[in-house]
Amino acid sequence: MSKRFKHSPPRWADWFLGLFCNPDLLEQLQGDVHELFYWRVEEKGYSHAKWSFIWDVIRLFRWSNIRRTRKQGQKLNQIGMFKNYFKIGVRNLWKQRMPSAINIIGLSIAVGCSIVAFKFVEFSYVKDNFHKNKEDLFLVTHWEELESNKGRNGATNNELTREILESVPGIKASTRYNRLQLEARVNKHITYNLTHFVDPAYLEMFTFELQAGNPKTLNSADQVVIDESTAIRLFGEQSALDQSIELKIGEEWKVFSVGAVYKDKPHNGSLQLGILVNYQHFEQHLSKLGQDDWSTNFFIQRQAGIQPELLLESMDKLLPIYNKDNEDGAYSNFELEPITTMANNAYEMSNSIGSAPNKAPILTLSAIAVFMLLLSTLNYVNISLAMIMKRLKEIGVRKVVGSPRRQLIIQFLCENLLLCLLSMFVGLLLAQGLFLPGFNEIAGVSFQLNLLSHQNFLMFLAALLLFISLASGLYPAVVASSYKPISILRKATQRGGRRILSSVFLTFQMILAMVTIVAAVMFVYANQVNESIEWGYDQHNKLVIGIPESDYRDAFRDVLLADPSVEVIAGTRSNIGQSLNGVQFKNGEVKTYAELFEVGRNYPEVLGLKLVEGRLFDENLESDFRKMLIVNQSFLEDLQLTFDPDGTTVVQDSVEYSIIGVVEDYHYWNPGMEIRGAAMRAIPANLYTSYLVEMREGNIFEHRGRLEEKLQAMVEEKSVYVGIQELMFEGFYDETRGIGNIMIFTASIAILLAAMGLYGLVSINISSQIKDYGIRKVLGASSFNLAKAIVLKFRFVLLLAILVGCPLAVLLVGALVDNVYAYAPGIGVGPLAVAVFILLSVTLFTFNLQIRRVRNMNPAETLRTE
Amino acid sequence: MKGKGNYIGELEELILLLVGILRDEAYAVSVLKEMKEQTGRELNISAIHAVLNRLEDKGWLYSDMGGATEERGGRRKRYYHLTAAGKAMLDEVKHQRDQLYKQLPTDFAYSFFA
Repeated sequence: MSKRFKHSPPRWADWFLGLFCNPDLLEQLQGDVHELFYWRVEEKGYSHAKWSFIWDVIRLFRWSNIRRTRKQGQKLNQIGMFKNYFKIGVRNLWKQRMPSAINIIGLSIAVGCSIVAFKFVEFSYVKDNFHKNKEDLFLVTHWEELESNKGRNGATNNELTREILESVPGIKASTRYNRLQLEARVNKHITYNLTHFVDPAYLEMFTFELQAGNPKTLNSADQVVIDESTAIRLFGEQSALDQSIELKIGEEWKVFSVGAVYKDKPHNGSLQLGILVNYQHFEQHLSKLGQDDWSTNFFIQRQAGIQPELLLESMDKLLPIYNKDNEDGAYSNFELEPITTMANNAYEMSNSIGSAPNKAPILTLSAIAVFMLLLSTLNYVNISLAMIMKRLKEIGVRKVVGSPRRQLIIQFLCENLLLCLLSMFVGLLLAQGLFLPGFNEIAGVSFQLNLLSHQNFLMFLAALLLFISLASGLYPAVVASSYKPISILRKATQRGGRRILSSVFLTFQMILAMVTIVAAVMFVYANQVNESIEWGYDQHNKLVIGIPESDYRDAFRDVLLADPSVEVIAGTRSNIGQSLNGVQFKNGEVKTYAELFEVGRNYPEVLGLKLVEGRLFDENLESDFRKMLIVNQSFLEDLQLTFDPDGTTVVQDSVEYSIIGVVEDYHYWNPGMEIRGAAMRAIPANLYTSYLVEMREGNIFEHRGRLEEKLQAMVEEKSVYVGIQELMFEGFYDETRGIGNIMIFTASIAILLAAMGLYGLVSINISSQIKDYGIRKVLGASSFNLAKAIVLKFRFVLLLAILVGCPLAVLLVGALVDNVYAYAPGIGVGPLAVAVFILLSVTLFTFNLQIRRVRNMNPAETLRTE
Repeated sequence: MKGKGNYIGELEELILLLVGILRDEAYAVSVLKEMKEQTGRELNISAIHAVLNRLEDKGWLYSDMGGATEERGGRRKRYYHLTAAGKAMLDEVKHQRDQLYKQLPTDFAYSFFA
């Protein structure tokens, strides 16, 4: 062998050529490139030849040389057939209108529900993703040693933020973020507004949409930025730009002008707009209070490409010095929280921003969507199986003529895809026109469908389409195409096996329907129980009146006392039902949190608390102001105390209180929250911020309107608040009624779907045995006899559904109800009986529709032909 | 394959000529080498394959397999031969060229303002 053979072409390139090359061409092509390689080795050397060889192989990778499957001809033919498949599909849909309609209605409802669920889940989990710089934005958080464990904190010491900016490289921009609830005065009218203090970079780092004005407004200290809804609230119709607005920061009124108006933040944004003020006002405010040390949420924007680890490394270097001066709140280490995960991780840190999603509604809605999808696809599978039986001849002929099985499956799937596409379309319309508006109303959100601009949603729809068309179509297609042509054409079709599966599906549907019915009944029942719950005091005929400013305290009292409709008034600082004030109480070693309310001395009596032991506050006893408590029964239980008239003491914030009276547990918050310990402390009249007013008989709304008008006339600038005690928990009740309505809706749809499935099956069942019924009729069967024959076929399905459905419902629904209500009634026999009754009556009604067909049929018609 | 019909491209013409010149020794690699020697043009082997295939499709060449050698690892070559139609095409192209060439003005010279 000559010496030129000591080199060989690169092996992998040769292998690649063999891989892609059409085998018919491989010999000559490979020979050519090899020959060229050895020629080049001689001419230009090995290295050049090697690269030329690789280049040649790459150039040979072209369409005409690439290996193709041998079935090319057949495949092309099939693509041509797709048009025909769809045409046949449309004709079949039309020919079998009733089952198709059942399928489409079922699937589209399920699709509509899934869309709502998807919207909600996405809304709950995808937060703060609209910022253009979202990759580079971080909240600076740190870990610190707490008493028992390590804790994470989302707020950073203000001094430390300054040092970070000075000594950490790689930070492009940063902003601090603090908030205060401030009084704002516009046109002599005062309102309360959540106001955020930020550095000027805030609006450049985060992406918000400018409506009007200068985006650099925050650079000047005497201008503020507000959002659209605040603008409308403060200035009404007129343009807010350049208007002046006064903010009461601390004790000082400062005048600002509105420099820019932004559109409201997107729903899934955690960072607020509202009113934005330059941070230096916050610094001034705190220095006036004598505070030179405070914490703030601190956001940074890294320079593009800088690794967060690098930032953290240089930030952690600052800690040893800082910790030396601050031993109490020593930082262990920093951690950067990306802005897009900030809200979802909010639960694991203190001073966090945004809120983590509540799992219960997400699970409930997803479960509903999955239930619906299951119900409708099972319906579909059942009905398609039955429908395909009518097309067995077609399949037989196709097979005899030579269709491979795969072609038949593809054809059925195509027909199926057509139906699913139609359902998707109807489902989208349903979601847009019915489900989303309804859900928005109940959940207090404003979801909308924006098909084109919403990538996640499109992906979801595509996945959903794929899922429903495969889940519903694959099994019938496989079954139908598996029949042997000879047995089809000989008319000896095997039926038995399929029927068992149909019954299994139907049973499963019935179980799902059962669970949803129980859920609906339970929620309606639990709502009723909760709405008629005893509040622990007399909530009727009472108004709550806020005192706008201390100057009005006495004047309000005089006016109220002089009003003929007022029975009695009581001053207070805490409004029962409206505010909470959890503090820690100690009884020796036993520590627990409980509410501490500050009330006037006659407040417990006017409210109508029911005394169990001891006494209420005495209006004539000055000593009652001194460390005396009236507590509820839970308070004693939680702190493991027993009431002793001679003095039971408890410690709060190192002050010792003695308990003078015990009242029955009362609902100081809505029934969604379990009652825990609650204590009342008496305060003197000069600390009152509102009055509780008991009215004489009369319409409470009229009383409120009249008093509100009368008191408002006395007050300039501020609005007077007059609330009705009875309606304090209305927000909670509205929400639970909403959940109840969702459940009723779900149950109705579920039972509708199950009934439609049953209807379809019974109908097909009767059609296939119509001769049988004809003969029975001729032989004199009564209509009861006929009905019995049909109903008996389905008795096991119903029985199983009830036997399995009831315990399953108890399990699932019980967990859900417990999550929503603190005081949930257990699932008794009542709701289950109601559910069983509903299920049975709907199924009987469905049977009846079909039995009527058999009853009215003329046996001569069905027996005339073979 | 009809495609561009009887139109012949410049590269196609060149390769058709080379196949004719090489007579019984015309295959992709020899065409490549001959082209490099005679015209100084170095083409990629893939381009030559493409053109040869096209010419065969148009009916100006026919091919057969044969002539395995050691450096090809015992693989055969695809030899190409000029067909009568191919020869006729070359004649026609040459004739056309000559006709057109004859019509060139004899005093042709480059002029900026012409």
